[in-house]
Amino acid sequence: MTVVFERPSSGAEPVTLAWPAGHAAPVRPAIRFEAVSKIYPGRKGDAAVMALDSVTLDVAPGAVYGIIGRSGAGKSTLVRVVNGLEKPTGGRVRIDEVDVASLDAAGLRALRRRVGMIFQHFNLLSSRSAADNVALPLELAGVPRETIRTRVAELLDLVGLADKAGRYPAELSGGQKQRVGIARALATEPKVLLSDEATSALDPETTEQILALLERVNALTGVTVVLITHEMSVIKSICDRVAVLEAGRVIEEGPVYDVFAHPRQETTRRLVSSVNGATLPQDLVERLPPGQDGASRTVLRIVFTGVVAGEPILSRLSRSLDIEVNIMAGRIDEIGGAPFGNMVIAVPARDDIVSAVVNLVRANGLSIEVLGHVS
Amino acid sequence: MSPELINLVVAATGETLYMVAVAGLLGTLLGLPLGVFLATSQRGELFSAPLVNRVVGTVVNAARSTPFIILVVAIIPFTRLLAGTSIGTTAAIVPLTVAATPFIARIVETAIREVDQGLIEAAKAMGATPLQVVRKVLLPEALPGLTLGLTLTLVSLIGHSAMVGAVGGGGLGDLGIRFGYQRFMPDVMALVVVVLIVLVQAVQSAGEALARKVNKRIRRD
Repeated sequence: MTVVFERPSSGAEPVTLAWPAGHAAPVRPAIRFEAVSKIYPGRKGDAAVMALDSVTLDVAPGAVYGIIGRSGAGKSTLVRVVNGLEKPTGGRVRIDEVDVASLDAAGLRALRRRVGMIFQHFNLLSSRSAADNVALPLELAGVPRETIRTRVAELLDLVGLADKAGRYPAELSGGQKQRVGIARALATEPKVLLSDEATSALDPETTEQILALLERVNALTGVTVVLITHEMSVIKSICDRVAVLEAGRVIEEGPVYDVFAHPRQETTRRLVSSVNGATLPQDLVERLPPGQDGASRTVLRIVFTGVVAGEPILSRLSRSLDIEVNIMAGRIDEIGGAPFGNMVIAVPARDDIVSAVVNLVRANGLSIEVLGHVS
Repeated sequence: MSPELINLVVAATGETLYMVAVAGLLGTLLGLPLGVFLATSQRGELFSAPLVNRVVGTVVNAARSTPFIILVVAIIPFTRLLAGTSIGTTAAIVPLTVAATPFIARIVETAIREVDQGLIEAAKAMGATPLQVVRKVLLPEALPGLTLGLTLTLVSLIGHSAMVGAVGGGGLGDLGIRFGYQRFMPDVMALVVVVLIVLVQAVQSAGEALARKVNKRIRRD
């Protein structure tokens, strides 16, 4: 059996990454979090809550930046300090070098016109049609009626809802509502688009469509997207970089590919395993008692990362060692244009074969670990 | 029933409609901003002023807990100041308005508090001023609730207007008491009650129809 993992043909270098990890940003960041902390004072005997704990991050202009964490990790607070909906109790947030906290009320409103926001529950006005919802930020900004009309038509066209202009939110599906939300957020031609769990209330297929739309908007307008989510699959499908948030702290940060391929923290590992197939099927796990006597097959996991994922490693294994290789589980994905995944295989349970397999796989630049045995 | 009596009922109906309409309008003009303030001035809200909020809330509660018939006589000097007299249909509008205003304020407050907080946040995130949030988001979104609330106010004003006969306010209630009860003319009493029922029914139905029309939250195919 031969399994070849083809690289996508069209220049699939992970060029979308903002810049290599550990290097300084080549351009000034669109958003810079400098040791941002937020403490909610305790009320009526409750202890104070530290929602953000010294968060330092740079978001490059034009990037799609993902922030992931479980609920209560501080994600919502982190996006809300960007447009001043929440005020940090410590540190600074700069947008295009401007300190958000230094702005007066009028300055903050001007800033908010350059920072669009979309929400989990869409937050559309039920009393306004789709077109009038999109028009709202323009009305608030005092844009002339004629200009509003043409701009709204363009925006609805961009999100594929030109034929739903007169519909009220109650008459639209979840995906359509979020499209209206996106059109509304883009109305004032913002530099930054904040996405607050924008796909969490949508089914997987609609989620894909909305993410594709965000990606297209990002490519088309160059708007910097900051999205928070609890789903790694969202990060995987459109983000360039990701920060993992836990208890208000950034516990891991880097290009999505690196974080996926080499998760350093347990939380990250768990989040990653939900999408990359690192979780074994339950029945396989049950058949894997460690060091079982009389086992006839040894189970190993090969992790494919980066360029080497194109190697036909399985056929090479079976040919050069003359053994049978069973595929027990596996998943290959593409992250930022580079293949990534892992595969659980079983080979005859003989020490010499297993060590030969391990050596061969490692010689090909892949990592491998022994998981256990099956009979 | 004699034509004279019929004419009396028609005139009294006109007086009731006049008092209710004017008091309802004035009460709305005063109660709407008051209600918006009550709904948006607690700590951390759009026009955060917790202390003033508490004071206004207390005054509103005090006005609402005063029995209407007592309010009518208690504010006679105030009525005279505004209307030039304390007797008659126009003068009766003053206590009706004073009673309607806090009632409407609470109704407006409730309707506005029903608006999803997420919409306020979204509007702020778009760069709306607090006044824009009220005008473009809170009031339009609360409109179905406001419409039903104002309907309720008008119905209760129709009821209250029966009591202003005590200060010569006229109207249907006054007619019912003076002719139907004091002169023992059950046919007048019956007619007054029927007209009142029809009035209340008409106001209620119109209000509900209007509320349905402005409510876009319901899917209509």
